[in-house]
Amino acid sequence: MISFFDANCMYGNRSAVREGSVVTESEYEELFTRARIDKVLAYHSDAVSTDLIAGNKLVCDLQEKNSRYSAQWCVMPNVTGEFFSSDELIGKMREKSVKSVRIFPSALSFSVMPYSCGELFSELEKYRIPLFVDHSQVTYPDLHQVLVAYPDMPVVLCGAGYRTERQIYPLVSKCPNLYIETSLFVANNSIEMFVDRFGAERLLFGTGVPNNSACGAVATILYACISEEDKEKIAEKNLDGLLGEVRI
Amino acid sequence: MTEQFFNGTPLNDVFIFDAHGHLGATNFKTGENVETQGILKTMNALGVDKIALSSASALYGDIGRGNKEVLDAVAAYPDRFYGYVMVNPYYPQEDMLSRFMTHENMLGIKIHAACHKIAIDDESYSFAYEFADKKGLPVLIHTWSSAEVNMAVKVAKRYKNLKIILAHCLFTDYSAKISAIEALKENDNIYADTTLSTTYDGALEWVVDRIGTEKILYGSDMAFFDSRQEIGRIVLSKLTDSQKEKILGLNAKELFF
Repeated sequence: MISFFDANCMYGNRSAVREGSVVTESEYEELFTRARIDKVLAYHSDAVSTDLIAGNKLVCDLQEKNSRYSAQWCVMPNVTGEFFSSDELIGKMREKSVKSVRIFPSALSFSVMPYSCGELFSELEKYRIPLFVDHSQVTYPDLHQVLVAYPDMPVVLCGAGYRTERQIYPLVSKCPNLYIETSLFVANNSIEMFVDRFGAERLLFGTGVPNNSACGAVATILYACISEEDKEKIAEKNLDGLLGEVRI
Repeated sequence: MTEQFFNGTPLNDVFIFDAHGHLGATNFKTGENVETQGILKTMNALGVDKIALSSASALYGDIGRGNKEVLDAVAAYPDRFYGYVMVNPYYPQEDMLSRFMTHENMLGIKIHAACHKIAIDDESYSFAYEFADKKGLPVLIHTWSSAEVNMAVKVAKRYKNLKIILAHCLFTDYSAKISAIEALKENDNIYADTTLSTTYDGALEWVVDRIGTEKILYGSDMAFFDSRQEIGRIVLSKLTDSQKEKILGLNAKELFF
């Protein structure tokens, strides 16, 4: 039986809740149990919409309370003094056993270029902390510059896949520190196409819950026409491996 | 059904009819796995018995060539493929339907008025609706918004013998859902499909709570999309197996055959 580790979950309240979508802790719990997703890497919606530090605290509370979840922090460069300095951030992550971070440069209006994120990314690179970013939050040329400038910082691009093959294939080909999350690999046989070209090591299973479907995401892997070994890598092992390499 | 699903083996014990598929390439995405073999590969992996296709070429380009591709696919794989004839009011239409409704597996007509930048109930489509009405055929209509649903309802009320399948709108935005639910409740000749691969868990259950399962048809948008996403949303939903079986194929069997 394949075990799943979700690399792309947003937990918490939203200002607009789609009809029938999960909101409460018990609803998330029921959904992940039904979809047989045992491990979930989650960030908190409040960290994106209102307060980074408060949202990050909430997801740590969740991690402590429910072993299904691993906390992921949302971060930004401390260019205005609103957030932690980079060395302070690493210390706090160590203290809370947080092993990955996510950025929202478009929503939070900052640049990912070295003049803005250089200190942050250098610190993440030093500890091999994976950086997650949704493809809607960053341009592909900017992403390329980041990947090249910080080659030892693993970057996980989330929400890419449909209609983005022509953008992501050359990046995956040229940048070995780039990984792709699968929640929107919804073009026919797109998992197979990717694995044929690049192998299974660069794909991480993700659901995009609550905006996308955990049940659909699981189906995409379970029924992919690839080896069982490759399914296991995508479903769980690749993300386990990335988090296992973190040196804090 | 659920245990079989988690083993990743084809759902061969369930009749699965995909009421909304597309054959052929479009330039907005890579052109791999969009022809008959790519579609059959996914169908076989999942255990999808049959799919009704319309042509991507007919939608975005040469309508005659595209409809011919569907007719050829249907003739080559009559046990697996069914077809919709795509119509486009900007091009001569007189013989489009009679030319391509020549195989028993050509089930109905596909209308994508948004692509043509024209109203669903525009008079220029009337030749197609009259044809379908005369023969009692299904017409699959792309409906994303409440306004589009309402236009489709006008067609359903005017041509009572045709059967309209509303595509997408049960899962797009709130106002479209509400309009679609009302349309399904009030019109015997309106159905809707499940097509929207990027929607979320709980959306299907919310709709079924309001209108039941009898008028909902499984549709995937394959090969624009991957039907595994849609199947997962249905098979792993909170619905009963009996409700899932109706959506996956039994409702289509009743409508089409």
